[in-house]
Amino acid sequence: MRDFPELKQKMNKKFIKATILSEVLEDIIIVGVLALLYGLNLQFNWPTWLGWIWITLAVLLVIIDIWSIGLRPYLLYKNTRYEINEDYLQVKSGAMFEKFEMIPMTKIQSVETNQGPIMRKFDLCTVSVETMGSTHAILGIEKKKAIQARNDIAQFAKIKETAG
Amino acid sequence: MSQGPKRYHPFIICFQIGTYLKNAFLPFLLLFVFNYQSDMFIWKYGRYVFLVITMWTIFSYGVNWFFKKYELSADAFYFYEGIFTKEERIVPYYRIQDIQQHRNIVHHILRHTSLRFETASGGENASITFHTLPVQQAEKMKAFVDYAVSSSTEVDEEKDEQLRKEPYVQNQTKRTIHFSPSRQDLMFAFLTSFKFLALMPILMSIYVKLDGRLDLDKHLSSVHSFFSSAWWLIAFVVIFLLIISVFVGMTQIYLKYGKYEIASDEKHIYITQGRMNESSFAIRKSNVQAIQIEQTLMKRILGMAEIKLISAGSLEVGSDDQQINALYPFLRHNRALWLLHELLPDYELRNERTLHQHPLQKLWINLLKLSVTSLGLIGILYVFQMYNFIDVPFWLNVTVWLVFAFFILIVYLDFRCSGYTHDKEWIHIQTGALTRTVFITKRGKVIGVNANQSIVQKPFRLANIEIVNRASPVKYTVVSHISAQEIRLFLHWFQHRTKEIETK
Repeated sequence: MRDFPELKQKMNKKFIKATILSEVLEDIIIVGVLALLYGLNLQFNWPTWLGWIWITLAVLLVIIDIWSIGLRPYLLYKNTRYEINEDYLQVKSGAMFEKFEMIPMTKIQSVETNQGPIMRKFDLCTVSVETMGSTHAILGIEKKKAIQARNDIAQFAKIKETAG
Repeated sequence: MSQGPKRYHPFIICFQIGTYLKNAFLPFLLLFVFNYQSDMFIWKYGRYVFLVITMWTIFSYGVNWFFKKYELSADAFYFYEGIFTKEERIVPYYRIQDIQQHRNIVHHILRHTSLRFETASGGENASITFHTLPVQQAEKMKAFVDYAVSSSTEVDEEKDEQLRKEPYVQNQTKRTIHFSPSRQDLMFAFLTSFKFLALMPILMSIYVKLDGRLDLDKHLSSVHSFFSSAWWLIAFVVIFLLIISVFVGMTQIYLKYGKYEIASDEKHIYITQGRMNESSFAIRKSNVQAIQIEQTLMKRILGMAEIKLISAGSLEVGSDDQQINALYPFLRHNRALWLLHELLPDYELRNERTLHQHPLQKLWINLLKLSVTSLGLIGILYVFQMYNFIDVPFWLNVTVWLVFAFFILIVYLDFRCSGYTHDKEWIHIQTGALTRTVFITKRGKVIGVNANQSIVQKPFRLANIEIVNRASPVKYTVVSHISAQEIRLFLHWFQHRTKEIETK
């Protein structure tokens, strides 16, 4: 049995692909830069140990990728849940360190959706919520759903408490 | 109150010039005193540059003063500034969280005061500051703002008209003074603050310096004879220094707490402190976000407690080490609680025995963590010893184990002394093995709840709860290692906060 309350809403499954794609693109750029540096190293007779540094960095990148491509997107997708109702925004995240956040709608000050170029390709959005003390983000939601969520939150949060 | 936009009091220019002169004093000395004869390029032209900057600064203070205006309307502060690009800022009164006032010697002489309204927003616009105002005007302004906030949230022409006729004076309710230290209280504060040791550090440093200068080895015999022959002189010097030390300590306490006062009326709490540098703090009771009762080990031994009122506004009081939101820090525990009851009657304090204890697993998890790290370190020490890398003396061995035992005791005490409860609309959290902190807040004042569970906690079925309160900076209070079942109950309980929130 789970120790925290179950929440219904999940990320869109396309989030996994989108994250992997953006990571891969990032890696191509980094590998390109490293290869260029290595080439310059050979060309201009820079010290040999410097060449080893580029290679080490490339190896490190592969090790990091095992995490950031092979594991992280799946774990994020599997473990992130959220729910929006009239009174609360609830978000659950994390695998090793599970986190359950409960934010009263009345304390929310702003809400926005944003979308990077790759996320746009997959029609995904991030919903960011700002309260008086913190910011919270829900990643990887389908655009239509995200906009609906944003509008809902904006409407639920509009009511002002008299006793702040 | 408002008759259109007003300029700030002209004395503000004097205050600004004063601060400028204070900052410019060192450059002035360098340019015009120490290097006045010098013909070097940097000193020669530096003097002209200095004069130009000084003149320009003073001129700009004047111009700024001329173009800066403020206005108190029925529901908000309006600020206007700028010469070519006009700027307008509006701060609604309802956003004000607390009011602070400071008076230094100059203020006293001029019968002025500085006045600051704190709002909960961050950044440089967080507070509205009037550096100098006649005391009467400040009082009027406070009363006006307060009246505007409390009368209603709706603003209509009629009320605006009413406000202009200044009816708020009669609206002020009577203040009751709850606490003002008597001579005995001050004496108690002096003794328990150990201010009579104020001169000790200075004396110690003098002694160390002297010790370095005088070659004690050489003079040892003469020193010895001096000591034995002139002991009365030394006794005299020691007593004299002690008297001075006591005097200095008493003056410090007197200047700070001599005119201390905690007062309240129906809706506000007022704290005033300081004799020469007077500061005061006023907060609406409904704006108190939480309270915190703190007892350091020393305070617990002496039976004292310090109560802090948590406000969403910022509480910077310059260099003053004592935050002004704390109620008199030398109060007896019982008296502090009584005072709290008088000021905020709806804050009920739970008996320690009625608090929920943490599950026993908390003790195990903390002991496990402690053992893994400590035994690891001790193990390394033993390995070093075994291979004779370093010579570990016997006393170090004993100390290491004693420290380990001490930490076990702390972990146990922390387990025994920590507790929490949530009932009706209150949350009580008590923590600390040595320094004990009790944190009390209302469900409606909490702006968020987080529950965390780490991989270590999972097999124990434990999790942490984090309560977020408005303060500046935002206050996070963690209750660590409570059972997952409790967490569910807690979240469920928190969900019902909507019942007691009034919305409009």
